Amino acid sequence: MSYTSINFLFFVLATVLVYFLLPFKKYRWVVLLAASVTFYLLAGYQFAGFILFTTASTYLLARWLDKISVRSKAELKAHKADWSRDDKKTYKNKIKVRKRLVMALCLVLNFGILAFLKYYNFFSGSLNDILGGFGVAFSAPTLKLILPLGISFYTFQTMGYIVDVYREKTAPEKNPLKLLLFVSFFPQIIQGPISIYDQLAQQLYEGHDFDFTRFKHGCELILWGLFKKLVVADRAVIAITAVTDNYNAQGGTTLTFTILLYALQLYADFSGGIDISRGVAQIFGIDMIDNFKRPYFSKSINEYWRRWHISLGAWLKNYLFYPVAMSNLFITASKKMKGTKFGSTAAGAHIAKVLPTSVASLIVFLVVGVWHGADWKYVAFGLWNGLIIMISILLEPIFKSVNEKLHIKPTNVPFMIFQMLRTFVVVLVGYVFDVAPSFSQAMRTFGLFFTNQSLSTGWSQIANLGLGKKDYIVILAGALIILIASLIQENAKDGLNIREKLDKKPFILRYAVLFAGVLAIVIFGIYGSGYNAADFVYMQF
Amino acid sequence: MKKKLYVTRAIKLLSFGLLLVLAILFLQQYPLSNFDDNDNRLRMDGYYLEDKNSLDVVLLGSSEMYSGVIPAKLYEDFGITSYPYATSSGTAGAMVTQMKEIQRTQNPQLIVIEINAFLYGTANETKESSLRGYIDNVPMSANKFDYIQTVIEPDDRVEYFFPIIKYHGVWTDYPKPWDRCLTMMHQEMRGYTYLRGFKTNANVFKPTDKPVNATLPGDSKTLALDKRYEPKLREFLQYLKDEKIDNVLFMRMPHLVTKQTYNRFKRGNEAGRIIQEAGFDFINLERDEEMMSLPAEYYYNLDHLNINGAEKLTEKVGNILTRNYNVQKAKLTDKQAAEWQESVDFYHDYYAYVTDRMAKNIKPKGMRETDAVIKEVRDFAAKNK
Repeated sequence: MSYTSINFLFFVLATVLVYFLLPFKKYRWVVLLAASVTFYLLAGYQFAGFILFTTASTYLLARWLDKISVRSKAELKAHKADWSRDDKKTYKNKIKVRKRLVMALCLVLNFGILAFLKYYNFFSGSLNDILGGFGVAFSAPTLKLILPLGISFYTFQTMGYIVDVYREKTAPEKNPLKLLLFVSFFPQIIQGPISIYDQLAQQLYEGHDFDFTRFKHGCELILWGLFKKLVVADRAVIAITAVTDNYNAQGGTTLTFTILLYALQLYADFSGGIDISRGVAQIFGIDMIDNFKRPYFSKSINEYWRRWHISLGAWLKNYLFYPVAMSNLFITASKKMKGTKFGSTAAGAHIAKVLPTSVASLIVFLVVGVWHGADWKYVAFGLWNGLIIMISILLEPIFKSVNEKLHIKPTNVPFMIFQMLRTFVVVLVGYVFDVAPSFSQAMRTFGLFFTNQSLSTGWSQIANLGLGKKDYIVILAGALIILIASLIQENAKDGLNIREKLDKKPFILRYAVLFAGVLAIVIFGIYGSGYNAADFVYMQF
Repeated sequence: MKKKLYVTRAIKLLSFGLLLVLAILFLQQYPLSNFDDNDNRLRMDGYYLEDKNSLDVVLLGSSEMYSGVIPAKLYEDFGITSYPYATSSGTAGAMVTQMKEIQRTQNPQLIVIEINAFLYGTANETKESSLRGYIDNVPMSANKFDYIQTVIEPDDRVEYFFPIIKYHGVWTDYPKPWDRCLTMMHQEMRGYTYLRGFKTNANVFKPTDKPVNATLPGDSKTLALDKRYEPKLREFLQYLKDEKIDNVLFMRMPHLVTKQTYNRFKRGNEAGRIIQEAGFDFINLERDEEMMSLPAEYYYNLDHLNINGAEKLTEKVGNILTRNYNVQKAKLTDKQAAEWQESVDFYHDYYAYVTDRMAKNIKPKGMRETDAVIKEVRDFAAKNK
């Protein structure tokens, strides 16, 4: 069931009614659980085993971790007087190792399933290529694997939970059904956001009263999401698909246009979907984290990744970046570098200082790349972003000194616009890896950007991508509306979002805006089986 | 205080919802509807605009009906009111529903049924455009609801119940559909149509294959109906029997028959045999010497008579209705009579305009009763008076 289907709207409506009409507030979470399970089963009951396994294994292992913690604390308390400091340290280390093993078991099991389903064919294909290159007659079989709905999202979310339990930041959930709700909450199962247990779980479990303002804001957010998704993203994707279906035939101008269109489509699609998810959750009284904060206004690639897919970035920061950057290996390497002759120079001291951060960033972005898909082009995508961040961290003092010498203040508006454009270009380069069918095609595309620009060819190709002039006008108008909304949000000094600002406007204006929004979606949205004029022309019967 | 707030909110929300629903229904009904090239919608709207029980004859079938019989002429020459309840490429499966709708809306002396829908050798029955030609263009009723439930797959039904899901993308065709959209509204405001569903194409057909019409009046060869359509015909006949509907006359309208379409002619003979076997009257005008002697100049394409051919056919049909079936002249109110007279007058101007175009060999054009065509006809008439 797609988030943009009529069935989904009816599904949400029914769940909202049952949720708020249930007289026992304490058990309202059961309604959410039933809806989430139903939603998941409707999407593909044959995959339910995977999400149940993840929930069950995480539940049991989290409880085990807790048991170890509780027992060890009791043990330490019992031997407070008779154990020496060393005894206690040895015991604590032993417990730490045991807990790590339990956590590792959970991570290996669940990431193992994800990795197998998502990457097995990629690795077997790559292995066959490598071995074939060496003349080895071995062929790893290719399997027909289908990814269960939302597996990347719920696996990351659940593994975050187990790490938090391991770190004793979170108490393990005692009710397995409640944990199942956290794992499968239907508004976020398809595309996130990847929530943190402490931020989301309690909101799910406590029964909320109906709040008209929340309901209204939730509906408005859904409407905004639908506008971005159906009017802009799903229209733009028609042209993008036409290009990717016939990639080799496209010239440099068409590909340049496609990458720009892709930047708009990806943002409208992803943020639109998240808005729908957040809007639905908001109706139930649940605040999910905002996954996007106007990323194309970022002044550096680092900032961009703090504004784009925020929940993934936060997850990676918490559960990958810090563990890597703060690991003994990196800290020791940094210290060792500081102790060298090079480390005593200004540049060396800086490099030694930022080495753990920059290398950890590179590793994180390699993971981001692989997370996006099983293909070398995604590895390149991750590497590109990681390298840019790594270089920007390493060269930060040079940039600062150049700016000082040129008397450029960070608040200088033209400079900020330059920074935004520069960051946008860096982002677009990364998108080339996304759009191109393969790594080699991406490389070819970069070449075409500089060697194959022709307005006339581009114009004729763009006109034949399945969209008419009126469609492009709608896309442009949609992009402008998104831009204006983003500018208002970005420059909001009162801290209010647009919906809150709208609340302060007269009733007629408020409802006129909503009315226009719904009609815009009804008229300009891409939905239904589609109308093909040719099917309805009988040539003068 | 709280109660007042709740009431205000409820009123605001309900008003908003109601306005929204009305706006969407308006869009679905007019600017974002199915603008097929045959304007089935204008014709079917026109049918439902006819006063209840005011039609003497309803012409049920496909394009042969609305392009072959001229209601205005039938009224002028025989005093009979009629209207084609017909859509292009009408499907056999819709016949029962269409008969129910005719029974619900009119009480005609006779229902003339063209059998084209049963003679296909192709999958017309499941073709979306043929199904939608009828479903999209008639108002929602219990009959239409049942029909959709019967013939449309469950997953696709929502788009038939709410056609805006299918046609909201029609806006990209604008401004072309404006004329038809405005015509729909004007027609509805006027309350009746001028041509009463008739439509022709201003064209004189020049066949590339030689028609074999001259040999057909004596040709009684038959060919079994396609297995998809024979059960539909038998089911329809059984329905008529069960419902004791006997004021029906089955007809096969004339076509230019060539070697390629000869099998369809033979299926026409077979359908006639089945119909007569079931106890109903059948007149095959493809076996009629007078009609089959009409040369290609009386057609606008192989399957359809042009306005001159339609004049001949209307005269033939009028004679059959009055002489063989004793269809009596309509008893109309003054208002209805005035409206039908307006139809007759308009038809005269229309005929003059269409034949003038044909004589001058102007590019063939479908002469549907749109605002633009009405204006062209009126301008032409004013110029030539």
